[in-house]
Amino acid sequence: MPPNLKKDLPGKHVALGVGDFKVGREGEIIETVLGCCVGVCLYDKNKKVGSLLHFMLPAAPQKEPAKMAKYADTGLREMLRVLRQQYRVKKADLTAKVFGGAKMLPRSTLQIGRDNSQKIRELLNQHKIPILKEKMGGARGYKIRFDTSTGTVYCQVYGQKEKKY
Amino acid sequence: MELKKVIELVTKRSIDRASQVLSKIIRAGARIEHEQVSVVDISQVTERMMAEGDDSVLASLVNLEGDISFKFLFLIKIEDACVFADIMLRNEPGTTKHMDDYTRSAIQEIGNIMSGSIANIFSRDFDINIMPSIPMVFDDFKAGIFSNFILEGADKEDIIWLIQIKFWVVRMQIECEMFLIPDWKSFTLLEKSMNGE
Repeated sequence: MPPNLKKDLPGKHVALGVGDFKVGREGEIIETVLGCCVGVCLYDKNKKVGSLLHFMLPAAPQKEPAKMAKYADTGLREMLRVLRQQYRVKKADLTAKVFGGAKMLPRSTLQIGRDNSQKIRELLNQHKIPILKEKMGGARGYKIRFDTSTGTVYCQVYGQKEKKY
Repeated sequence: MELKKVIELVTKRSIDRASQVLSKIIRAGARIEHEQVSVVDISQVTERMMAEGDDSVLASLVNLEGDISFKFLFLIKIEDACVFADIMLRNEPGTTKHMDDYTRSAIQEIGNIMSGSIANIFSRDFDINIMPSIPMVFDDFKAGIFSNFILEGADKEDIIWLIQIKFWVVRMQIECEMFLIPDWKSFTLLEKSMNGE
């Protein structure tokens, strides 16, 4: 376990960086911190397999970028491929919870957080994956912990108490 | 001279100057505890940052633009920022219990002075003109701030040059960090210029 991750949830804790995704089986907690990036938690409750995508930008500049998970479109596509091929998870069995998309830099004119949020709703809709819960927008960062045993996401907006989704 | 050497050379002098300036502002020796110039994968470096925990920090972010460009970030834990503010306001350390406008102003000023001193080094030693922007000051999770910091540099590239410096203020047992992200393209121009191309 990485040394400083909160250990109040039982299980193996795994940290996730920007432009990446991780898949966890029952007993794993995947954690990340989001600013304008968006975190997409997909869960198959029967197989108890969960995956978390931390993407940075809404659309890839080309069809096959080197870092697929950096973008919403290629990242979601790649994560679904891995879930299907390596974990035998069907798209129809998945549900989603999405977080992040904040505008943290006060003077920035960029609206990446808003664009990311819109894009992921659109993509999940296209893939017919229902969004069960979402917490996006605002001006503060999000810390999320995805418990792959239950599909529960523990989300703390900076300066607020952690809530269960 | 290869690009890494160029970046190491210009940043070494900047870091030394930043350390001197920080020591002067807080009236205590700020020792450079860790210094690294490296090419990093954005996913790996942010994963490491996430794994370090969810510290609440106050940040001062400055964009330096001109002949070359890079981004500057100063990070300090909120409770330690309060101590810095006390010192700068000539109060007894520990007087400020919670972050307030004075704390924010103190960290903004540190960002302003440190980035300005780096700009001066570039101008004086390398004849490179850069102008720092007004520092943006905000508090949040350290990993969230860092992710946003690298975002602009990483929108087109998956790997970035990252200069990381940790300062340790012995007398107060305080650690603070400074990050610089040079714009790769502008430093390539600098490399050519230094090689007389």
